[in-house]
Amino acid sequence: MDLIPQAFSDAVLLAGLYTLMAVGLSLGFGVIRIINFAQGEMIMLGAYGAFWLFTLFGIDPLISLPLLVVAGFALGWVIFGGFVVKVLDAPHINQILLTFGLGLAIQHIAIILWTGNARSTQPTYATSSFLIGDVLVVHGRLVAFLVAVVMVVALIAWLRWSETGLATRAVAENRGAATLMGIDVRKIYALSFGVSCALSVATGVVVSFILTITPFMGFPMLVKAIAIVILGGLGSIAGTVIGAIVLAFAETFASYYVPEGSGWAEGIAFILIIGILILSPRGIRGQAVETN
Amino acid sequence: MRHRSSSLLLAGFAVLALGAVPANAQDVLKIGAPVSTSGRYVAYGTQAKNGIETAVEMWKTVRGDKVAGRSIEVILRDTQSNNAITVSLMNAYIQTDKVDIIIGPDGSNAAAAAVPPWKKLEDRPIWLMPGGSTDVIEKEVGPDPYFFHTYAWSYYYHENNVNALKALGPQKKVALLYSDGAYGRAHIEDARSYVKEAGFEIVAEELVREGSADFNPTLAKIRARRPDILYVLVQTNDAIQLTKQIHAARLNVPYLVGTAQAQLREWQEATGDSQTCWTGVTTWVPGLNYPADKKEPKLFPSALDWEKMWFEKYKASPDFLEVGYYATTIMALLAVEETKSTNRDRLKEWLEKQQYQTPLGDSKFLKSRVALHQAFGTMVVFQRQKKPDGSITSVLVYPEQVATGKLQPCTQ
Repeated sequence: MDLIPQAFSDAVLLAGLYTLMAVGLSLGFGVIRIINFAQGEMIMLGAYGAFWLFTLFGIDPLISLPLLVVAGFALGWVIFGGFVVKVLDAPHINQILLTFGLGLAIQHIAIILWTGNARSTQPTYATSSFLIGDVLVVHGRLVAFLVAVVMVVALIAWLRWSETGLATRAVAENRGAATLMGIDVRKIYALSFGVSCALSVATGVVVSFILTITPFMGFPMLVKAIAIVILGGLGSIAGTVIGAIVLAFAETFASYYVPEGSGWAEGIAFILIIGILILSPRGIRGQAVETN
Repeated sequence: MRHRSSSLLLAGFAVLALGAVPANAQDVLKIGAPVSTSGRYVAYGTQAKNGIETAVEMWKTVRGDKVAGRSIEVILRDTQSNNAITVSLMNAYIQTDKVDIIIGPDGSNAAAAAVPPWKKLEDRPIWLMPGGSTDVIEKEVGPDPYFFHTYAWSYYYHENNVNALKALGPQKKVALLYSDGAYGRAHIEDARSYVKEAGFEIVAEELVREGSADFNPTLAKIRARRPDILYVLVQTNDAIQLTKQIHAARLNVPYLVGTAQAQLREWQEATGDSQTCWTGVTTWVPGLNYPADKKEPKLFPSALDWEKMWFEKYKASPDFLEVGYYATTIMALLAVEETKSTNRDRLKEWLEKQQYQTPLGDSKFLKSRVALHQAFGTMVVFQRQKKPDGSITSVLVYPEQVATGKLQPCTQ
């Protein structure tokens, strides 16, 4: 049996999930110039939100998605106003420590509230599938891919055609010039941080029926998201999509075609990333980043 | 002169205080219990804590507040599911708290981490271990006279699993799937060896990354080999995702075999219908029909009565570590009561000779591959089967003496 079509299908679906996982981080960094190390915990909160709404009220994760995205945006806005704003002009190490600490605090609150037990939502599409020829497509992964496409397209449309989106791009390109043009930079920062958190919460909602939910699920996703963002180029949405595709294809094809490949897949993918970064230190579509 | 009197007075207090310490210590039985009540293994730690606390409560109800004239002090401390903290706790229990007995820690990782700090000390106390199955622990501890393992070693899982599978007849094709973490690597060698010994053919052996976002590549390769049995060696978190992906992947493998995860409530709750047909192996499942102990029927009632008592208290069926920690703690208390001592050699001799019928089965210690003392190694194999009313239940399929049904092939 030829496994290439199946590998291709798996890689495409995984790329969608990886894009959604990393795009919020990329937006946050592109605009505010802060890597949010609590991004993984936002994904975790989204997953728990979907889980509890499904378990307690029988609400399908796809139905709860808009509600949780709005809640994620609000939470992001609050976190920005309450914490992140205080380290905007601080050294990078302070920003890293703050967001990392926030992530740890959220993780521990989740343990206290919900224990460390592993959980998962079980909508019917999570474990059903269909065949196109010899290629098996799991409905749950296809749904996750479609959600990712919709969210990323919506993000790009917002950045390109809305007034606040244009202002966000202006701030990302040149903070000083944007200020002179009368843009409220702090407000744009809060907006970007909120959107970034909302995207992470959306990721959590879709992984709630694909992966296993625990309070610890965020950190491995954060690592992968950072790798994708670095590979694609810090702050570039298009680069993030490309980075996600590269990582997903490298992992999937290594899993299929390297002996014991699933065990080695991440290692091979990260070696590939290192190789690309040696050739292009700014990543595939990266921008220069000023450092203090 | 006044200065000299003060010094003498202080010295007197010091002598009195020092004298009081050993006298006080003799009045207390100190049990060190490292449990993972936070972090990754909090589910195990909570079970361990419940088991110990219920055992002490039961002892106090049946025998009173003291054991051999000593009050009972259980020093429960959180390992935070962290190996380095487990090492510190073991050092503190032995060197600072001077505990008489250690019970725990829960889970193979923490248990393995606890071995070196315990092993290095000459005056180490008796150590009872009701959690931790990896035989890495057994190899590290070696034939130590003060170590008492009260759970099944990992190779018991595979011996029993394969014995249950032998009922399917010879010439079955088996695919082994294991994780690259400590769990998978600790189990694969024994699983492979028992499968081969049974005369089965291994048609695939696939390694997966712990915490992988997608197991489909591995499943596609397994599907292509058309095995009769898929034998999975991964920990609970991966097992949940894998179980769902296997269900979705239409593998058409008639027998799905797991190890410890299938007995866990969290796996059962998280996998829904996908858990149907999976087999698991355990020392304990609700509904076991072990009788009460004749000498201690109140401390060790029949398994069904004990389960009923537990359900009334916690409004939930007991999990395997809960019953394991309960039986182990009661044995520790009985050892001190019967010997009227906390001397480790006297406790060791008594533990070696005792034999009770506990809710977890026969408590007699036997020699295992390396360790001198191993109890509660009797395991049962069960299958998650769907009943006509749609609920999914554990049906015991091995050994024959306790079987409540037969192994059924999966239909998808």
